[in-house]
Amino acid sequence: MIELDRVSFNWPDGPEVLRDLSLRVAPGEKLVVLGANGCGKSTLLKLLNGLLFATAGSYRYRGDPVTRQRFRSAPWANRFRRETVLLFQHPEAMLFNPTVADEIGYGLRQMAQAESDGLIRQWAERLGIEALLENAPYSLSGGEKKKVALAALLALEPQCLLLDEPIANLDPRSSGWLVDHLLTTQATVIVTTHNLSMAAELGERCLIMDEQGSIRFDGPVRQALADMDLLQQANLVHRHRHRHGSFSHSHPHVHDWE
Amino acid sequence: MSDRYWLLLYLIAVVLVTLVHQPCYLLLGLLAVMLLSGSLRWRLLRKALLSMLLFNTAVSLGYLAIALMRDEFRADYLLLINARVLLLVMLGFWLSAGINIAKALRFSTTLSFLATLAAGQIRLMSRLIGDYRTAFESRCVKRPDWRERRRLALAQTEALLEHANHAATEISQAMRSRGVFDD
Amino acid sequence: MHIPDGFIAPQFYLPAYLVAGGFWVWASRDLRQRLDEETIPRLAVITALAYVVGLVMLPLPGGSSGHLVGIGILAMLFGIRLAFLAYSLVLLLQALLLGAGGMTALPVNALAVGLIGASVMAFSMRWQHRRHPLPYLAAGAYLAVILPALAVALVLGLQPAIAHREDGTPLFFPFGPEVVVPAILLPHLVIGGVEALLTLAVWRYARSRGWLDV
Repeated sequence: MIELDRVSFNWPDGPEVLRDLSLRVAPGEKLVVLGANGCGKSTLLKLLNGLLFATAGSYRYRGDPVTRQRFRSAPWANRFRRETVLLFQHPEAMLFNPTVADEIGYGLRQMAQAESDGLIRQWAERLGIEALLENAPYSLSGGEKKKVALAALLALEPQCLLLDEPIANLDPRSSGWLVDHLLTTQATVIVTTHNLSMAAELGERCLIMDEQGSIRFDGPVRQALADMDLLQQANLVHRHRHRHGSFSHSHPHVHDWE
Repeated sequence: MSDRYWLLLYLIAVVLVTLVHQPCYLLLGLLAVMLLSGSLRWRLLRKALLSMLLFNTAVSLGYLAIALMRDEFRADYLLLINARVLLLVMLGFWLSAGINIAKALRFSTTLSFLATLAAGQIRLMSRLIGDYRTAFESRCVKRPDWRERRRLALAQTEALLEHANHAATEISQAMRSRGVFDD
Repeated sequence: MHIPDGFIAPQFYLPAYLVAGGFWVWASRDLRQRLDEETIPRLAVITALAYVVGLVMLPLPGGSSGHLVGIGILAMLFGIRLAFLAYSLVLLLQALLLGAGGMTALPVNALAVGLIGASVMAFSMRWQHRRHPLPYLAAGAYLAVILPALAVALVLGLQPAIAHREDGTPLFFPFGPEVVVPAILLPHLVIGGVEALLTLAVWRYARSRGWLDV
């Protein structure tokens, strides 16, 4: 479904953010992208969503090259936008409609989806935001905004879900619901996080990016999480000293995963 | 009634209020707002009085001093101007408490998007400014001098510009991602 | 320097809406009719910026402070049209969203601060000396505060002449220009100076970030 071939990306006059990435993701596959802050995870998702374009290498979606020119064809662009959705790390950028109901229904109405009102209510209930339907999105808290953005994306029943740090800011019930949903959906899911327990719950496969924007590891999650040297090199775990009674020693720590 | 009609009604009321020059009718209008605004009434009144306090006190006292000096004092002018401003400000607060403004502007997609996005950004940027100010206070060991306060104002302005630059790009990408600009 | 609600007579604010309306059409002519992926986010963010810049406290000598007007900074970065539109939108949002400012004062505030202020700054940017731009920019930023303040004062000062009872009692703002012009202008002579200093610092910063085509 997704094929990246030796993709690099840099901002004009800026340093390289992504370096020589090659990646294939099959339909329905769940992939977790791990990496420290600033390693290019968000840039990778924006590239996969056709918002940024590779400065070298190629990106194919269902065999079609994803380029700036490709988006000039309206039918292709519409299909791509309907099938591939991105949850931004800071979801307020995504919210531009007067009410939460409008926000969730935005894509549905664009697709002229019949029964959109029923779908809006259904998705709002799933995410526990049905009481907020008439509220203005900008008046909500950070976590609520994320739920609205998620509901708006999931209501489209996309075939490829790109989620940038989806559980940051979410309460435990909602993040639990989201993980369950992602495990059961037929859609292809690519999730970025630096939360290792989320990776362990979600993925069969994980990608670890290093701080230079290259892929350091691509394989089973369990194997990656067992490799302390790898996690330490990617700045996903840290080493610090601690005490057991009178005995003090230091070793790498993973605080959010056991 | 939809938010758009409330907005229209409000605009008509505003023009009417400025066409009335009898304080007693304006006071009747105030009474009507107090009665109709239900449980909101005392909050509206308090907010309105606070927001007009500075300017209206200055104008009223100034008028008092100058009119007495020229022997032109008219008490009903003071009543008229203060009743009118209070009524207008209360109407404004009542409207903003009761309607979703972006919804009222839905007759224009562009205006409605603009209002929603701007309102969201106003909240984020106000928080940023508030954080800067409180962090500055918290870090000042002694009373800051003019130079330090100028540096704070500059740092705030630069942070706002950086935020604005970044936010414009993010919003543009997010809207594109959700298919807003595809025909 | 904003005029609050209720002090401008309808004989003045209704025609002012017509004039402002003409300029709003002119200013948005450049923005494409279609939803544009650059313009909408940019205008929304600049609008928020125009609002929030007013929250920045401007340190005045002697320990007191005033609020930054900010129109000079907006015009310097985004040009007259965007600055004027954003400023007008802020006034609209303030009136309708926050219930502050008010619809009767909106067109006057938009024209005085948004249009006159932005135009002065934009002209000073256009005419700046290639090698010694600072005095031009400083003068522009200073006048972008002083001239709108003067315009606001004159509009207020006109009110007793426009709207009064038969016996001469005013119906809206009570003071003539001889009182209101010095009362508003004098503090702004100081505020304008500090604002100009800050605008120059922001200009340096914006230039170093490549936001200005200088």
